[in-house]
Amino acid sequence: MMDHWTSQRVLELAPDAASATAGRSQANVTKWTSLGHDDVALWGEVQGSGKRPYQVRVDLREPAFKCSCPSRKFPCKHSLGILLLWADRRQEFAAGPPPDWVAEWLASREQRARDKQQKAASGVAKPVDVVAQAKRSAKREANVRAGVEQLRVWLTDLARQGFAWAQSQPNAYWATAAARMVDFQAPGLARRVRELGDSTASGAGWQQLLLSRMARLHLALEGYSRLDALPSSTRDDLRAYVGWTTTRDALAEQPIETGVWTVAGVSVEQEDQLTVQRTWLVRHSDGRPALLLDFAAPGQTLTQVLACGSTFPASLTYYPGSEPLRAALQSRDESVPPAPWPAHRDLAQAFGRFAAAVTAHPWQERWPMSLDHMRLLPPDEQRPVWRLADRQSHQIALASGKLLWQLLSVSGGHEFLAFGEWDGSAFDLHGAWIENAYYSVSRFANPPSLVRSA
Amino acid sequence: MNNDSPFASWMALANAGVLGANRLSRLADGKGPWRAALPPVEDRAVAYLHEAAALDAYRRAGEEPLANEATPAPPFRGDERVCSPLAAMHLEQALVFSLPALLKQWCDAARRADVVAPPERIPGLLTRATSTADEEFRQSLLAAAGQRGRWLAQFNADWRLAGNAEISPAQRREAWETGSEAERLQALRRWRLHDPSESRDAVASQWASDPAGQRATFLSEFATALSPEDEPFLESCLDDRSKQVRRTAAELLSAIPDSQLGARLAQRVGTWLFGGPPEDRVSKRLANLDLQLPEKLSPADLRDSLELKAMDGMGPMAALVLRLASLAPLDSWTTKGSTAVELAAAAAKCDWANALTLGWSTAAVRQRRLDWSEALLSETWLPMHASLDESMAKRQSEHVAALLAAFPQDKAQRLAESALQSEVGAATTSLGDAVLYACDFPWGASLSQTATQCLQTRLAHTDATYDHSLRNLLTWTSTRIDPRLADVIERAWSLSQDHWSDNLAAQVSSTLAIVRLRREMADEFRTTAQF
Repeated sequence: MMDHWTSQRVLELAPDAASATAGRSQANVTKWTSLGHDDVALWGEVQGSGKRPYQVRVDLREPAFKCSCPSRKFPCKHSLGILLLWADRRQEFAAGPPPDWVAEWLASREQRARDKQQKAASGVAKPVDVVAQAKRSAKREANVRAGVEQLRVWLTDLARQGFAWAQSQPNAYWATAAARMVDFQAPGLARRVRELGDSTASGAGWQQLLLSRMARLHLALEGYSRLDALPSSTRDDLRAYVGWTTTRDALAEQPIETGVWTVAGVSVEQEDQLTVQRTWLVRHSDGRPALLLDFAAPGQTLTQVLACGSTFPASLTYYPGSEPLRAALQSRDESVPPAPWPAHRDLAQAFGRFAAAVTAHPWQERWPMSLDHMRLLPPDEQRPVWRLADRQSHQIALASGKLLWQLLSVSGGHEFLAFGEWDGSAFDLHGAWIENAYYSVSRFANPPSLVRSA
Repeated sequence: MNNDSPFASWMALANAGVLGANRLSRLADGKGPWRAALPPVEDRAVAYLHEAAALDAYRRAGEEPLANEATPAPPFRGDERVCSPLAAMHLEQALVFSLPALLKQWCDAARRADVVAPPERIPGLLTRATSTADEEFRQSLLAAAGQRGRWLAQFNADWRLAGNAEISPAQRREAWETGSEAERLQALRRWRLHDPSESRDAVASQWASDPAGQRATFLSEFATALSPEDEPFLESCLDDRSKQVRRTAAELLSAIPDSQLGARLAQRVGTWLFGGPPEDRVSKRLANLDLQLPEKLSPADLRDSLELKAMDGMGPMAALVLRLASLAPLDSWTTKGSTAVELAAAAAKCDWANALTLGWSTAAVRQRRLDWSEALLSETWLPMHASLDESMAKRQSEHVAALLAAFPQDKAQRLAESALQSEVGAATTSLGDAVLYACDFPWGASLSQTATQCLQTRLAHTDATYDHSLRNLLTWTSTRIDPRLADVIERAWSLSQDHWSDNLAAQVSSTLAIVRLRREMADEFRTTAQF
């Protein structure tokens, strides 16, 4: 636990590339007036631009950070700096009992963890005006249904006019339709409308892309208009599609899934104005995946930071649906060494599972897959794309990137276990188990780079 | 639309959709299984969308992976030792600093310790090996990439082209005969290393058809493995149409001992310098280095690459003297008994001082004459540097560097140090820079100490921030200075910081970081090599 910190792993925790650079600049021993450690934590005082040095504390178990500097970034550059020093120059840290300002923090963390566990166990919720809430829900439901109806008409009209007509429409056509959906309290539909508009400008084959998106939207709208006749899990899928969020209470009612989970992949994307961090966890016992989503508005930073390859016992609750993927982390324990998990033995098996998933939930965009016994094939004259091939002589195309050369180098052409997302045409690789080490795609290196995490 | 395959139906739907469901005369009444559950509707657009929705889901669920016909290449099997995790981290840091010299040091140290780079870093090393022109650096990178790197390179056209994978003589010949200019140059370069005479024949065979620029480029490759066997071909190049080719040929010939060109030039030196008259006039001429230059040059003179043409701020006569001095065998100047030292001292006082000094400096390097190099450094360049005129001062760094670089490291360091000692008190110095740049090898403790002090003086100067040559020197120093002195350097340089700009401070700090990194690198390789 103490020993697997490398500078690469530390830098992966940075919220953005600028922070990673700033963190490196703080990893200079001459700036730190004191550095100490014990079995679970690090601490130090660093000279900043203010009069008094900033006090930095790190709990190595998660890791968790606390710094007295005024920065709103998390972890701040001082936290990254001290952790980098721990990775490179451990000898500079004096071993010993923590000073008061560190011990207090550790104690309060432990207290908070105990409180949270207690609260989860006893199920105490804050009192809420149930009647008012029900009224609001009903009102929104009526609104959303009206929006769905309107969108059905709009979509049918679009099909009537044709794709060529659609492509010739100005931006305002799509933007107005999307804005209307927001007014109807259906942000999910607004997003789909915007995606329809984007598909007209997507280059070669745009007609098929537009058609498939229209098809799926149509299916959802038809489904929503007869919501009550559908099975409850499909109702959950459609409500999520349209943009209903699951409340914390509803989430708390979901069964708790426990186990030892490994962080198999982390990626950060931009969705309109929002920054979205997608963290994939995979359970060791059965290879079940879970997706944690964190959002940050422009100007904010993401709050949850999990390093790829880190493994820990945890309790999750899945958001309701017919093929649950998105989950929330309820509690977790100290990290343990990572290990590979059960995966599909070949592509046919994986595609079979995908078929079942798409049948139950036709609005899947990206499906996580763990594929065992895969070999990486570089582009050649016959097929100028990267592919993964299984033992049964099947293959799938990979979403390309320079890091595939690194993967080919590390795997040496041998078989490995791959984890990534399949979108119907390409496999987006997030990580791979090669010879008892987990390699993952780093978040910031540009072009993306492979990092050995364990 | 009778075709029932899902794909064909899908494409048909997409095509139909372009014009719009309005225009559909009738929808297909095909028999695809996805239609089974579709409710009948009147509105054509709605029917179209129903069909699309069902078919989309049907196709996605029915998707199958492609068949893979090809057999994959044999996987890598090797037994090389990978460096320790700490050494791997040092490599990452070296890559971040992005200094070829630093990266080369890691690679060379790894090779000495008989370990290779971690696999995920190998593509980065191969890419750098492809894009560098420095052959030694390339070999270091390839050694660090190891057997796995050679295995990996076979899959990438760029890495293969740069010759990272082994190429056979047949491939080399093919690249020479049919490749682009860059490919032919690469092929010739490797060829010259392996088989100089065969490569010479290859160049000769294409000579007539290659354009002048290419001929000159190829000819310069003859500098590698130059030998008396190249003389006949080079002699014939003196008749070439292109001036650049003739010049290059003459320069190469001057580096071959006992060449015919050398003999011809030696004769001219004899005639123009000594004339042939009685002893006393000779010694007087010698003392003044009084050259009797012809008014006009004969065709033979022109063929031997001598010119009466003003160049580089020198008049035609001076330019001619310079040319002669740079090409003629150095022994031809000492035939009447004087030594290199005496001649160098005499030259400093005569009319042709600059031309002779510059010409002899070039010749000393080309002809690998350490006696002349030492004479020129100690008699002319170093003691006189304070009083060099502008045209010489500009060239001082280049020539001092070239002369010093020819010496074995010990001697070069001693010469450099004595040059620097006189600089320690000076605020700015280009000579100091020149001698340090000439020492392109790891510095010993003594030179490192001297260099530290020189830099300290410069950093302490109030104008340090505006001293741009200082920045380059810091970068250079970071990769050559003895890393064991890291602590000493840190203390020496952090004494005066207030007048530094942020950029300068950052650079000094980066220099110190590089020196510390080099020390840690060396320590780590030493420790792991013990096992």
